[in-house]
Amino acid sequence: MKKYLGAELFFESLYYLGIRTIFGLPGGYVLKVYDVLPSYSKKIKHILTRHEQAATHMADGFARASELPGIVLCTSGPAATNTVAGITTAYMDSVPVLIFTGQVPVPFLGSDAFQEADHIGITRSCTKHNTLVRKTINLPKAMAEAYHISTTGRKGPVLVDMPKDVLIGESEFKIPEKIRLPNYKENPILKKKDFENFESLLNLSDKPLLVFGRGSCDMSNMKNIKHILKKFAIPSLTSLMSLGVLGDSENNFGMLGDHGSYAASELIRNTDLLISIGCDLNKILPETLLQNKKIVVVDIDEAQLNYFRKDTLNIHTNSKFFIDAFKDIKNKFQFKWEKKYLKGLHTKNTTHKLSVVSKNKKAFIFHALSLLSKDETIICSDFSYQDTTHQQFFEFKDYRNNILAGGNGIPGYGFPAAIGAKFARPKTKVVSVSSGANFQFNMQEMIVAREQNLDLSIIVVNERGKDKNQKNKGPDYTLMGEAFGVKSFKIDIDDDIKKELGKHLNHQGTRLIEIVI
Amino acid sequence: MRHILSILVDNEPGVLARIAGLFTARGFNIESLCVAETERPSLSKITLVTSGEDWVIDQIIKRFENMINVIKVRDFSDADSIQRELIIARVVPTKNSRSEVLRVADIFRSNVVDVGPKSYTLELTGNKEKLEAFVAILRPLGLKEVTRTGLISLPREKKMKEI
Repeated sequence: MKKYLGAELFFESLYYLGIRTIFGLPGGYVLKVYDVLPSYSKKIKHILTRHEQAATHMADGFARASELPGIVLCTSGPAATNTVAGITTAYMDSVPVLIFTGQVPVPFLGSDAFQEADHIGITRSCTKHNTLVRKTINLPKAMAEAYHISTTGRKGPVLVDMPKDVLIGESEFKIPEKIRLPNYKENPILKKKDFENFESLLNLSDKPLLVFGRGSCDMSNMKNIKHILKKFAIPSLTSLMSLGVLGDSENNFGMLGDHGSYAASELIRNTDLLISIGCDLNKILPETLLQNKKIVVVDIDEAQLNYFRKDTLNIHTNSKFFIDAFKDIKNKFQFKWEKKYLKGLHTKNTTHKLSVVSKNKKAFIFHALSLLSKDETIICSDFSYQDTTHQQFFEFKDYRNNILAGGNGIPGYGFPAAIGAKFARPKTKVVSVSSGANFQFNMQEMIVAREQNLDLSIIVVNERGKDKNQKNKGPDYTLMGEAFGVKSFKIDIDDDIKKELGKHLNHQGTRLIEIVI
Repeated sequence: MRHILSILVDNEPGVLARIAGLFTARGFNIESLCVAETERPSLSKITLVTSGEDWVIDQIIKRFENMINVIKVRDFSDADSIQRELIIARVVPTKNSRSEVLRVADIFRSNVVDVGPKSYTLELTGNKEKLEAFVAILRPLGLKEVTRTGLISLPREKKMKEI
């Protein structure tokens, strides 16, 4: 059998696993990988980033936009520690990301060698799983297992640590076709008894309410969810993370939460049976709102069930199985939601939305983008917009288009994630929306956007642009963009935003649009 | 409440750190810990004693079950189970108490595993209360050093069917 270098095995395995795009930065202990990269450049596209954190965000954005795992390659020590912020972001939102780090040779492990860090120890609490490869022959197997763990069950980041001697060693290419992990329970099946209990609860209920969280977001679920909403006419809500999963159904009453839609608060107050599918209610709703009503929680992760609160019914299963079974219920239910009341809620939702949009400048930007984007558009937004959830003012038609760092709320996420999303779906329009302060976290990646000549709109909202005190004034992002070689424009919020934005959104190449407010 | 957790895991490096990490993350103390190979060399059993609110422990157990290297978790706190611990104690008695130490060892059915011109080394198995009583009696007789294995546990046959 042909012998390969460890570094070659790395690319052979990636290609075998169906991976075509990786994000990374070279460094001492992964130089061998970069040595052999040119001979694989036709098979696998490598995107050179300027910071490892940005590389993980790009892989994260790539994974969210395409539902394929995003890949990061970087060296040991400082590079690996830089990725931690991005790994935690992926972990909090259950995004499949694979991180491959270089490491000092096995005999030197733990000797405080140059650029050494304990990657396994550091990332233990922010990865779904991590592993150190000790022998070249085991590398393909470890990678295949990492891929499998990352993309099944409750998805999440997996880190594979590759010492230098593993990468320069030689071995045959042996990769298992079927992954055998006896202790790994990836798809908990839906128990018949659980579902019967659910059916009887639904039968007794007068005013049920459905909440679809990020856990229900799967391409195979989209059709069934539509079917359920149409067939049973149960009012439904989304969370911030799952905006777009309900499409434009008439039973979609918007987003729940502190800053959620008007209808969401009304419905939650009046429902007698709250059915949450793949949604972490604890993070979103205060406990007082959840008292005195029956609650059904469906989650793939058992650790999320009965946490803080005793629920009426807990169903530990993959949302896919639950939604499939739900779709096929033959009973005809008589719910007591009045048609007039629900219609009224839709009207109130619209007036509430318009009143927020007229007062809040940031919400207005999302609203304007929504009106301008007739084609499918991916919106990558940053932290300062998610604490007040302006994303809901953009009408998402697909949950994959809503990209934001929900659980980790990390500043500087939006822009690199947009680059990743563009690589995942090159034909779709991608817009990143950040505040100036957030944009500064990862603005060096403008070089990547320019180098790769991506059709990307970067909207930077300069909140300090009009400050009269010269000391407080933020930097001039237009000049900054020009310095990076990106075409840049400045708009004042008092201008006709829709017209001005419209001019810049449909274009070729990377474009930075600074909105001064 | 006091919980005795018995965790069956892969016999691999890093697994114990993963388990212990979940306790650290919640600020829980591990009161006793015992790890050893099982009847299958590829598997290890971790017996761990900790105290905490039931719902938090319940959540920690579920998190253990999510780990790739964890095979099975059992909570023995309210099951009818056998619990044992082993202690090795070194006593340096005064001239007058040399025979008294041996008498105490006899009462507790402890074995003398090492003897020197100055000291006795005693070994004893039993539950927590028995070992604590043993230590308390030996202390005035010149107890110098003690090592305990930490608790190990198995459910009794009757209960085993239910679990």
